[in-house]
Amino acid sequence: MDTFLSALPLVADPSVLLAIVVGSIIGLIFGSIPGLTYSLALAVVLPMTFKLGTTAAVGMLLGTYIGGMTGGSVAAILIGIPGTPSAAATVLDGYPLARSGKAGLALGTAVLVSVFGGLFSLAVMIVSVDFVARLAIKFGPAELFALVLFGLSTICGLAEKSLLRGLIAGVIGLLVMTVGLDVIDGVPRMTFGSTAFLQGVDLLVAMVGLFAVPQIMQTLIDWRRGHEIRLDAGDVRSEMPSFRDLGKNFWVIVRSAALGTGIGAIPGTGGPIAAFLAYDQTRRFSKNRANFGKGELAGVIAPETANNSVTGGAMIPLLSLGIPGDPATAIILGGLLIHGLTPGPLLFMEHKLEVYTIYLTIVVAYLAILAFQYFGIKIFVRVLRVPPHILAIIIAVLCAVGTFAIRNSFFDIYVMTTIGLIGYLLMRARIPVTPIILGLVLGPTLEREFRTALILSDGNFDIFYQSTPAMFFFALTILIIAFHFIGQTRAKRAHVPNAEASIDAG
Amino acid sequence: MTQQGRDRLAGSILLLFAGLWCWGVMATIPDMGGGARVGPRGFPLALGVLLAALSVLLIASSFMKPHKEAADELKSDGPPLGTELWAILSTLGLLVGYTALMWATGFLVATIVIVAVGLVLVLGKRDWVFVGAMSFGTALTVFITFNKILGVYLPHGAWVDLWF
Repeated sequence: MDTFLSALPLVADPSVLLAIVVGSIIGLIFGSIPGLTYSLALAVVLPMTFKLGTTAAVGMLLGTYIGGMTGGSVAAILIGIPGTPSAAATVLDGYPLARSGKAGLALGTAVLVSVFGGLFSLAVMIVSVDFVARLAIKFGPAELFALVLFGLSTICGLAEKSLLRGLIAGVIGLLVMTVGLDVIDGVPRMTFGSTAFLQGVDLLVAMVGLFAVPQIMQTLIDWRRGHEIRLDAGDVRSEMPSFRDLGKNFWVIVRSAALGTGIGAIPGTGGPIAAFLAYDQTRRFSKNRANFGKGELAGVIAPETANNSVTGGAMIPLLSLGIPGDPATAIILGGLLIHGLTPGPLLFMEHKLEVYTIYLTIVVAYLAILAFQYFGIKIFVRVLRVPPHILAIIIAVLCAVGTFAIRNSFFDIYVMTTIGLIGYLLMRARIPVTPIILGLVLGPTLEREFRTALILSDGNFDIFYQSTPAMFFFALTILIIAFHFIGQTRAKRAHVPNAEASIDAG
Repeated sequence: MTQQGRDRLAGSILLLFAGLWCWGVMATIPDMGGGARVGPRGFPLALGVLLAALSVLLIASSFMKPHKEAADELKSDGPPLGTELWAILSTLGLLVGYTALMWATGFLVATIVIVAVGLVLVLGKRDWVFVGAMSFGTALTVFITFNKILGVYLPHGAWVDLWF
């Protein structure tokens, strides 16, 4: 309780509140425009947070993440195209609702249940994180290595269409991070005498390069080919759903929230899956089954609650174990690391105050989004009219400036650009970017824990075999990979549509 | 180029890279592992070998007959090469040009120029009022946000230095 009260004034600081609000709005905007993703928003915002204090920086990042997740519903409802992949299921009933003149109701309901879902998952998160962290505090390097390996495998395995390409991406990320000074022995690795490379590849630079630059190129290509999607919604107001509407759908809301939180907690799964599962479940158990797809409010409530519950769920492995579950949480992990907060069991021991500020930040972010969507929807819709190809130029400027701001280095911008080019080429080779980011973020930890474990055990691999948790995670890793391999082969035979593929885009 | 051709190209480039990487590791990183102790060479080398193996698999997979879903995906066309090159070169040009310009003329001038260049040369906008407004607007907003609000140092130019 003490810590909670100490955290309150930290978050109530005007600059922190402003940072959260700005982040939320940026996230909302990026989330709402189809073709711009919230990962891109995070990549652009990350350098901005560099000079902010820790609380404000984390606040801005979380605000952007949450705003991005919530914003996807706007385009889904208004023009039938999801702003983010997690809003894909919202289109099914949201768009018909808009077509029948009930856009305001759909929008208002979507944001209200999104906020509920988010806060619900926050509550679950607060309870679980503490519990998991207590378990994990006993983990030594062998267990941590196995855990991180598991985390990496889930991303390479579950989240990607092609296991092989996911693994290639993960390995590339891990590999790149070995450049620089060796942490344990202090020798320069693959620097070829260049002092610029001694620090290794800067995580921020890589993230901005990998997420933003290929997107800029893709946006330009889409525009040139006439594939650009414009959000032109006309006059729109947000309308609150009636208490009756909410009451009728009470169990839908609760079930979807629980589902979303659970799915969010599993690394490698996220918004799109939760949304579709929730939609499907709700439809199956609904008395108005026939109305789904034609403008059934529950068809908007279910996916929107679920996809925002994912945010809290995904923070559970992130905060308690240091394992990000999707590109967005990977960037947040990067952000936390840069500000000296290392997620994991130690975070609770050493930075309890910061953890509570994170909880409060999430609450503020959701309230800010609720207020903005209700009262600011008119301005919002006007902003969304700016065509993506023009935004692309501005984003390029922001990326360059942001990258420069990290170390006051022009060299970094050139590195970012190069990484961006490579990122785009990899994207064209259908090699996903998310596992690369994860490899970059988790690489140092993976190697450090492995080598520390061996140092402790004097080179004896028994330290791995004798540890039950470690063997457990190794077994899970193998299971995930085997599972995905079998699933891939089966899916190809039955041509089942692959919902997971859209995670990479989000 | 077909998707399979792309896969083969990507696989080959990655294989080449992995090979060069492993050679680099062996040549430049001292072997400090004694006995079973994993030294600085261990991880980079293992990763290089792993990448090489995976690249070979990628190349091999491109020779296998695609299953139905994959075949459908292969048919979907990537962007025409001309458009793609235009997008890549424009983006790279803007970023590199912006950086060089920032070094030479400082942040404000560089931003105004590059946004204008981006709008006119890359996007073909001809509405000068719009271009002017966007360039100055962007430069000013970013300046205020980064310099004044966030306290980030924005570069002054080496050749042209405005006083703020």
